[in-house]
Amino acid sequence: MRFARIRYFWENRRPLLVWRGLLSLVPIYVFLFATKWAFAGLTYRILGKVNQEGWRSLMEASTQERWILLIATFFGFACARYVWKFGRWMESEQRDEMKLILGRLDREMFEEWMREKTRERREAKLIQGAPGYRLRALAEFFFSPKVYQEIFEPTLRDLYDEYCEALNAGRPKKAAWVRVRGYWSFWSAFIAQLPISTVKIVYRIWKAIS
Amino acid sequence: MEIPRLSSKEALILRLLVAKGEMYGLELVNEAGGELKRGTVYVTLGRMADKGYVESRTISQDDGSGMPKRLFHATGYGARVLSAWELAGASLGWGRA
Repeated sequence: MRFARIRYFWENRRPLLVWRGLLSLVPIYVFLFATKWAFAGLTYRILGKVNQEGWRSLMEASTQERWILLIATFFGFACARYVWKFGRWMESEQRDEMKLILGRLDREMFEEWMREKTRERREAKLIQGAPGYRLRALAEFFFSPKVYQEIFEPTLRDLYDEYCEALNAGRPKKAAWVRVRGYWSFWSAFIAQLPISTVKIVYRIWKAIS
Repeated sequence: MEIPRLSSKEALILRLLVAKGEMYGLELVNEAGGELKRGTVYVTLGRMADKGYVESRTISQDDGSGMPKRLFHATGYGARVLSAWELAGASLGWGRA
């Protein structure tokens, strides 16, 4: 049934030709890499250790290829998720059954779905916790309670204060910017603190052992 | 005995804390006029707390965030280190340490 839904959607060319094109990138790159690795493996088998350097260079993807693969995979998954959700929505609401039977996809239907989705997301944002509440859990997991309380909690607290101040002043764009800046601060602190904490932990373990 | 050391950022933070009393990280960043970064100010303050230059206390606020505000102040030791550092800087011609 699920495949049938996706197939129905897939076979209708409107309005997701762009998505379809992007999705096509994934198998292309999978094929490209599979071929490359198979060829590299074969070369290694035939030529043995003589061509080890060549084999290594073949196995390693260039930076450009890595980025393209990453972006293609990201868009591929995002598109597949949307296609899937759209199919489920059409079935759950039993919208325009006649159109489904006729196998036609109406642009209005898609736009309505998008509007509904945007509204849901906006409402979901209103009821979510303070900005950075997921990052709190992350910092608590990675660092000791002392480090968390002295470094990460105040960083996120500042983000929270500034965010609320911007919202109270009726400036949602500034609030969004504050959020981005706050996340940047958090990750800067995270990267700066990680080596210090790691060294401390290693030293403590070494001291306990010796 | 190990001689206490101060980096330029640590000296700046101590100078601000000695001059203005208790402050929190964001205030320090704003007062420093771009010399301190939001991301690293608390890391520096944490390091300074380990060295005994600053101390902190928390103020709980019932605003639903679940995160207390942390205020920092210079310790007596920190203030003495700063004055010694500035004195050394002036004698050796470093300018403002």
